[in-house]
Amino acid sequence: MDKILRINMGADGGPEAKVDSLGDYAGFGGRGLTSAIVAKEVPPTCHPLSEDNKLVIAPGLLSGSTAAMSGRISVGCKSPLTGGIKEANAGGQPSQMLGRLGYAAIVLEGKPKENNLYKVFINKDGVDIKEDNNLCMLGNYDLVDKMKAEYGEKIACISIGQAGEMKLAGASIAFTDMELRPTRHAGRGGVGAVMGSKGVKVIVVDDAGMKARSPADPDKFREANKEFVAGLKKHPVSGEGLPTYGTNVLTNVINEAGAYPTKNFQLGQFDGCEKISGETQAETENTRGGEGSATHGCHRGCIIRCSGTFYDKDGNYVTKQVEYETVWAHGGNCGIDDLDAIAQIDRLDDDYGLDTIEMGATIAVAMEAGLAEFGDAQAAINMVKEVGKGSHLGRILGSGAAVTGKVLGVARVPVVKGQAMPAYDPRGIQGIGVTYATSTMGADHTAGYAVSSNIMGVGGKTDPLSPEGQVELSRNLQIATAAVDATGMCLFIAFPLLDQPETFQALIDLINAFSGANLTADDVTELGKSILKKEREFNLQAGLTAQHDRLPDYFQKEQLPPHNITFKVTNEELDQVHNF
Amino acid sequence: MENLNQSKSLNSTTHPLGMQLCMIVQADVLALFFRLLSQGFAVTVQPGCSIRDLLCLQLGIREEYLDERIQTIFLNGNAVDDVDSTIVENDAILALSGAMPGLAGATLRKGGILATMRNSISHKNDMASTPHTGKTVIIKFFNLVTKDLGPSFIQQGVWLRAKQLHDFVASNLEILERGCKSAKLDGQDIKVNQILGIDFGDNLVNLKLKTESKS
Ligand code: SF4
Repeated sequence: MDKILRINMGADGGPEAKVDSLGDYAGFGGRGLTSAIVAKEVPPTCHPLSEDNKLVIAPGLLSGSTAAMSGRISVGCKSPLTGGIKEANAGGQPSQMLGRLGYAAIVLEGKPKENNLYKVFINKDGVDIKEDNNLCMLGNYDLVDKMKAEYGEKIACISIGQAGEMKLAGASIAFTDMELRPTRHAGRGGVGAVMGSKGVKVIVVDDAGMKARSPADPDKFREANKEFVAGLKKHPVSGEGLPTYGTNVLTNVINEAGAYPTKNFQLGQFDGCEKISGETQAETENTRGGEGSATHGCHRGCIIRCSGTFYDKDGNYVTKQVEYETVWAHGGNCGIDDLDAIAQIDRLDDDYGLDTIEMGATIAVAMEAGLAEFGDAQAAINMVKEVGKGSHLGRILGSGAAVTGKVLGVARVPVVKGQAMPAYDPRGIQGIGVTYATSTMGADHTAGYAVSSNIMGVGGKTDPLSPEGQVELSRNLQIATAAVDATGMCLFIAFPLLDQPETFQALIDLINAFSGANLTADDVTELGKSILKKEREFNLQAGLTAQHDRLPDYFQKEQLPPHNITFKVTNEELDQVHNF
Repeated sequence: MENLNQSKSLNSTTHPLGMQLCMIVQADVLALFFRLLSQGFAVTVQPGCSIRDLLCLQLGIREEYLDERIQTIFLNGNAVDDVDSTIVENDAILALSGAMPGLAGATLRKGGILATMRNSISHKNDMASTPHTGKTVIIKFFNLVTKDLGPSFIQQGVWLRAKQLHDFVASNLEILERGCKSAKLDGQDIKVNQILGIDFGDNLVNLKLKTESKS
């Protein structure tokens, strides 16, 4: 994996592909690589949909190898939603395939001179780029079916639906899963709109004839992988909780904590939560049965398998097992307690290519504006369909919660840097509020994840009970997360790393045995710091300053029932996060 | 069931809180009833004891199980860090869960290093205690705790609010009519759909299940 595929979509005479060596980017992968390229090559003040922006798609450092959990993929660009740097990541098969083909990244550059749509085919023999305007305004599902008919069943696809073609700021990029369905999305920040602006509808990847990447030290690699897998399997979260219930296991717990944003962040608990909880979802899926119903991986090589497949009551495939954030966004946040309706909306989001968190938050804002009643599932489905149709209302909704709030005159809009907050009310879990406010990505729950700060050697030196302690924790978590994102590992490895030092060591051994490097925990921390610094610097130059590291002020003023609390971390404290 | 001390009686079925409904159901519908356990069921307790005493001494849950598997605990919606010093008063709601994923999960975990991130919803011992108006505590089981402890508790009988039972039967009538082999209310045979017609008033109902494998 030592080359970068650059496709200049604006070249004279049509799109032009060239293969570069990694050069200065050697040693980077995943978010480390996307952010390095964007920070170095994209002018921070450019318009995100202009020819100057670049879309970078990068497998993780270990993708394409047989290392467990290594198949996540990062997408980076300047975000049309936040105006800052963006990394959104996804599961699915393309990461492993691109890794095996030797690509550390695909970079889409420039912009087509005419308003044409292209498909890109990549295999061991090279790259083929074809104009194909027949793909215009196809949903991701129909599009993938067409690609299967054309290129066979052994491919993987990276694609956009209608939302990306319309360049809406809520548009995602779809990655096909093991069943060749477009269910895994780099959702956040409008990355799909940037792919749309490049005129690329789909990238088809075929790794036939390629072998798994071989490690520098195969024996040590095998040993470390074995230890790493054993660590994941023995931990109750990764070995039992996630495979049994999926990420939606959080619904009951966050609701009990009074931190479950309900009806556009008006309440901290949802009456209908039990009907849409992970426990109910798993039981429903198990009862309905079907291939991969309650426990399934989003890519080959996933040991945890937090995903699944959602079938309707008659056994027809609807969508993948809907994740916690989506169940919340389209469920409790809109007052909807019907799992089947939520699954239908998830399917529509995946088909049109929309970020489920952004869309759920947007519909809730629209409900608050009076476009529909909270709890009206059919109205929510209709709103998403408007986006697919590209009606005026649909284009507004597809542009996200901030735009919709402005157009509809709603003051309670839960966004930071223009991006909608995920499924945890920052008044209930204030440390998450610090991360929402100060993340380089806009409000993002994965920006400061649960990798142990003490294990990673960046532990809090201040009293953890003080406000400064919260700030320091959030900072350390953001650093650790950036480092894990660079490996291409799924963030759900975090818990075993947190609790089991030997599993964390196995991960470092795995990276070293693969690459021949001699990384220590401190080096991993430095990697995380350097990624965050680059991202922060890009944002500053793009005009996002400390004044943008704030939650909307109603979080400081409106008390959240049932605990009746407000967000208490001061602006001065928030400003300390990036002091490192 | 190895997570429970068998010598402990979970609930007295002769308790005067309300009527007793015994059902014999097919094993494949048992999991459906776990929804009732996440909504909460009542247990009678000695007031003013610690969480550890309540769960281990009074309900018979093994100490190792509490320490190792029950990683996330809420008392009246506040995350608990110390099961020995936190006192459970009458009418309290105690929710029990395994370890949870994600930053939020790590933050809510008992005594975790990220506990400070949810200071505003942490249980503090100086919190005003709930008034002593009843003699029960509501227990909620979530996720792995339901899977581990649910079968034993529900087979020995759990006290439910009548409305909770009514709503559960109403929304799952079709499955229950298929999966319930027989039911008795205070010893009298009853059909599942007849439960909907009974006025239990404000009382609790003791639901006890036995399972029978599909024939
Ligand atoms: S744990 Fe879940 S999100 Fe992570 S790689 Fe596996 S299926 Fe995908």
